[in-house]
Amino acid sequence: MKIGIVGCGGTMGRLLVQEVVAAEDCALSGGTGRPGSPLIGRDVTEQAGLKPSDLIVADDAEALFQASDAVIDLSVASAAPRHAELAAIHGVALVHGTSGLDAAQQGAVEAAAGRTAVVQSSSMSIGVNLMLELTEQVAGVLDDDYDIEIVELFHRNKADAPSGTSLALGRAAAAGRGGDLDALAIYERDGEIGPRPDGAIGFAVLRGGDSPGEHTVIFAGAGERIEIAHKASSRAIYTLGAVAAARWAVGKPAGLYSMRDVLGLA
Amino acid sequence: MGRLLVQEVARTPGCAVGGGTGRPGSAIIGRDVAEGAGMAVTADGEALFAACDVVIDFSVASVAAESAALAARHGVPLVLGTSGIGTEDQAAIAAAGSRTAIVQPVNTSLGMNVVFALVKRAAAALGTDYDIEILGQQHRKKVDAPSGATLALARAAAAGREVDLGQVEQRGRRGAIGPRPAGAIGMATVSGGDLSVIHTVFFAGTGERLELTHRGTSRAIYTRGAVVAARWALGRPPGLYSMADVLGLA
Repeated sequence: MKIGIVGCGGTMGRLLVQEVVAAEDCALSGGTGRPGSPLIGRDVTEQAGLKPSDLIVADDAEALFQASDAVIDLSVASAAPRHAELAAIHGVALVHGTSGLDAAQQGAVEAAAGRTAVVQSSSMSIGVNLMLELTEQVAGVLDDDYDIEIVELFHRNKADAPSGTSLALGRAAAAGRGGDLDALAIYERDGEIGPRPDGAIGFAVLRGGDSPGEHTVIFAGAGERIEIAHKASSRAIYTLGAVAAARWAVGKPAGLYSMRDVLGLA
Repeated sequence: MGRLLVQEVARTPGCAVGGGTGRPGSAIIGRDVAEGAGMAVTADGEALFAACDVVIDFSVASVAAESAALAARHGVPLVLGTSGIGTEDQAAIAAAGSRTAIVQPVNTSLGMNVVFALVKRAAAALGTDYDIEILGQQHRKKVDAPSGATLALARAAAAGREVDLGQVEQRGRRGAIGPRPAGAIGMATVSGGDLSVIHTVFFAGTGERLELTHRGTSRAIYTRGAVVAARWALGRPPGLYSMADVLGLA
């Protein structure tokens, strides 16, 4: 299976190149960089810290899509429409993991999904996506007697809070209860907070050290509690998941899929 | 457990204690089942089943088959929470299950049963790249290990992977154990103090791990689950059911 990487010179792009090269059943078909980038013309694998190949970083993605069974895009939102269009034209499976798409960019991705298989997810980690599913399931089974709290720990440089994953977990919990997170969320506790409101979904944010991300969802009932925890120790989990999604998407009918589909959890 | 069940039923809206039995010859016979209930403890199972909509038996394995037979004869649903039932008695219980609804939970805690379902699902979704390890933490007075819950979690994981637990389980590591075999399901036990009972299933992959934990801090979780099962069983067609059926997790 031939997998191409757009934006192969970024942090995630280089990790993706390493992941595809390491996968026994996959071959790297090439990589692209931003037009004008000093990476253009360099060796795709060498710039990712591996042995050189005969693949050169290109500034146009058309040839890459022609040479690939699947293409992974964890690059930038602005490139999403062009990559989606190329995937559709060439009938190539697309794995799209960029967040922060505007409505037009999202529309382009969805339009491409009418013509080829597109897997779109803001977290490509297999473990996180399974956790989302399990959280929704537990929230659906246990009622308000079980208080839901979400705790995260991230490295000291993470600038936003709560994390996108914490918010996704909160939405999954709210969906399981048939509620809306906006109405249930407690993002801060400070001072005279009073008793905990029934049915609330609480968040607590910790920052420190170099952790690439730990999340725990707690269902605290009378006499017992359930905890679902995910602990990342490497950013490679995101690239591992993206490659798993690419492998899954090749040969699938046109459509917009999520990591949950990839995991058989939809 | 019996006394806790009486309290649980008494405080559950929509439920009333229909009676209670004790071992023949026990000093408890003739005393009030519950304070102010106006019912004496008897040794007469027949009368109990005749008087109740549903019966809960958490007593001893030796009477399980008899309870099941009484349930079948009176068409009364039964929640049977005893463990260690022999093969012959289990066959009799299964036969009774063709005539009335019998819920036979491995563990009646709602939370633990949710965790069983989560473990099975996670094991099915994650490949053998994710090593499964189960850690049970128990108080110092517990005399057997691994705990029944640890074994049930291991069975749930094996079921999710569609393998036979006996072929893949690893217990009691010591010495030059060598690399971990792919696909193994490991179990370990910590014992001490009066710890609340904690069970964690680890799915340890490359660069990430998922941990599913149940913490029990009160025995009331077992009696509460038993009453939930009893209410669920009322009006069910005959059959042998699990807590997963009760919770819609099967």
